[in-house]
Amino acid sequence: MRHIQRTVFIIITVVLVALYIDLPATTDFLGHPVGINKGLDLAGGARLLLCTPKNTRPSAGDMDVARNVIEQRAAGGFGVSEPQVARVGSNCVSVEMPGLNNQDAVINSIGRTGFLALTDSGSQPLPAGTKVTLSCPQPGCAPNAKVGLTDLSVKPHPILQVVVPGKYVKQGSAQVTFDTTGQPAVNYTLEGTGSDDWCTYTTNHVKGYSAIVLDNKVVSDPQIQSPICAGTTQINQLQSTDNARSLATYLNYGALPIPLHVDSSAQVDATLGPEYVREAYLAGIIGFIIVALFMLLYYRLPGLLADLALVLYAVVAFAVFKLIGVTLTLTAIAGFILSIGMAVDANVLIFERMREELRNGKDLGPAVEAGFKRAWPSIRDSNASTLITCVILFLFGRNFAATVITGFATTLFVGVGVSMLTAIFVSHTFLRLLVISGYARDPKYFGIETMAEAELA
Amino acid sequence: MLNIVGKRYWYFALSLVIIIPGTISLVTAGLRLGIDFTGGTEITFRLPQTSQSAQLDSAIRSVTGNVNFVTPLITSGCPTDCRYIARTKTLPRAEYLKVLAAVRSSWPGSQALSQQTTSATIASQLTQQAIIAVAAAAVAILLYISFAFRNAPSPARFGVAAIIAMLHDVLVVLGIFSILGVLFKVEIDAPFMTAMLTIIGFSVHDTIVIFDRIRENLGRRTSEPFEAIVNHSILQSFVRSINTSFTVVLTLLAVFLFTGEAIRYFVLAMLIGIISGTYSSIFNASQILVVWHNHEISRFLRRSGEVSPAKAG
Repeated sequence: MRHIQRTVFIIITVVLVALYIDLPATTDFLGHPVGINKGLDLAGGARLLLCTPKNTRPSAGDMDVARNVIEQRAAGGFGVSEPQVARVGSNCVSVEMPGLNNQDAVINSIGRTGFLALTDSGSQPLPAGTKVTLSCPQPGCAPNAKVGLTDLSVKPHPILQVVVPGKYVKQGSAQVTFDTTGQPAVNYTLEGTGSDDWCTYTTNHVKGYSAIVLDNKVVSDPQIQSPICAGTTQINQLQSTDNARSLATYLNYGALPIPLHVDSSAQVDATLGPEYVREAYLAGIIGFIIVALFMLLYYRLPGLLADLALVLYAVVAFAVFKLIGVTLTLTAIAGFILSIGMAVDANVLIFERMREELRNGKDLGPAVEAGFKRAWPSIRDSNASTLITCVILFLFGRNFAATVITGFATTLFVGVGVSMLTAIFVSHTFLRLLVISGYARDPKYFGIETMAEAELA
Repeated sequence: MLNIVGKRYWYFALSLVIIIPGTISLVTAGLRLGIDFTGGTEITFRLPQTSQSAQLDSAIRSVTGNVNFVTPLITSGCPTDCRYIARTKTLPRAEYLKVLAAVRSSWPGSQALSQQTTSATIASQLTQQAIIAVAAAAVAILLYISFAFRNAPSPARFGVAAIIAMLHDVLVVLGIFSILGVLFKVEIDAPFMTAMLTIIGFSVHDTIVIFDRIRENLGRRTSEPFEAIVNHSILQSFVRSINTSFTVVLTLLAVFLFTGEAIRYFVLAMLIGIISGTYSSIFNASQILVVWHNHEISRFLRRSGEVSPAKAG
């Protein structure tokens, strides 16, 4: 008796917590962000697979840097709430941007290689954001660069001569720090001949300015205070740590270490999403009602309990989706609806066993316990096969960063898992409570019409 | 008592009636592969007026030089919102944008609702990995069943029988989709693969419930012949098998009827697979155990072996 009270208490607690998480307003649970991401088909947006040219073998390190650069760009510049960026295979990076507007412009710029350079910007600082043209001492130091010296008088874009191309900035070396006056600063290191060129240039241009330029735009234009020959450069007196952080990001990740092109892509217009969501919602509700009715009509009283368990199942499963931040796509919703049908299975197995025991003349109490005990191995073993395929599906989908597949595998896995737990705890406890209450001793409540039938069978 | 096991060869024959045409279609025509597996570009256009597919075809062709097909989509919004799907070879980004510009200049106010471009490289990787995934699922399930039934006599038989029933379901679905491909140009795509793996899981799920009964009854009814035990187990779990599949089919039907074209064939594949899975677990999987137990195949072969010399004599 005490045991069952405790179980009831646990069930109520779990359901209340789940209900709280389910509330649309809940975005945080015990400091853990909760929520559901809409996939491309529901939110609209774009998915890109950016790859290096065929037959190139980029190093894993370069690919990781490329991945980080893409992630910075997707998260920072384009207003995508939840970009998902992942490496795919040995030479591709996938980026998924649900809810992305202005898709064509973003797609054109997200995969651009980018060109970062330390330049000669004369004796006056240029404000950040100034558009400039690059020039080189010899041809070829930068894409589309002229050959010649710095000329700030050229309109509309002043010409800045490249001193050190960005590829000489040691990857990951740029870090936020504080200068001697306590202001935010960035330290970074140059490598190879870049370090030597920088030493020569800074020695000859003390008190001059050297703009950091990314894709023909000035990012920052610090003044050279002294010759820098030790390899490490400090840019100090930055106004804020945010400033410093974005400058460090540009230095580390401004340029892709390897050229990437759009290998494969998918775009969905945002207008299609609401149509799909409405349809899927309707299908889910109708599916749920049909299943609930069927259980009620066929199994009567236990059917009603199963329906109650099914409602709790849906409440808990949805909370789990929010907790793990599942990406909902049309297929994932289908997976969830499918799992409603399968959630019934465990209950059906228990009830069928229970009815058998009742027909064999057992009393309700022992019939419930025996039915449950007998049904359990098949519930466990049969669900295991579905769970195994879900895991394989998930791994398969992840190889292609295909949320269509991983979302489905996740919802079905969670659905089947939660349904097993509700069968063990919820349905079982309800049935026990029914036994204890002393109501419903008549077999007809269990879909067995008369005692005569019960005895005949 | 209903004798299902006794009529087992009739049920095998019924399976073959479905599987043989499907397999013939699979071998001769194969499956109609979508761009997930072949590579290519597919664009859904929304045009502001009723037009001929041929006009759209030639507008795209003027840029790409080649168009696989253009099909109108049936939508309720047509005079103002007419939708067409166009398929071409894999278009590089720049060329895709040119196609958009060409269509927009012919139909001002038109729009690309969705676009998918899959390169041949990714398509072939997907195909390869899809095969690996199916094989891995089969092996993992075989191992699990052998483990779960380790205390039953000859656990591997249960595993192999479940896998044969699973292959039955895979063949039924692939065969029907091959025929649908020939008749209605239905294609298979990445979500179809997802459906296939789900079917594999469900098929075995269903089979295990019956096997579990057989396992239990083998322990309790040691005096009865194997055939009778299997028949009894099938009947005992019959209502459950039908009820569970019925509820799953109901929910899938709701999805099939109320959602649009986007996942229609994904759901259809699962519907067929789940009906087939229920059938195969009742009428095939357990019967295979009986056939194996009675050494019916080797007896059959031996009998035909004995007949031939007699003829010669």
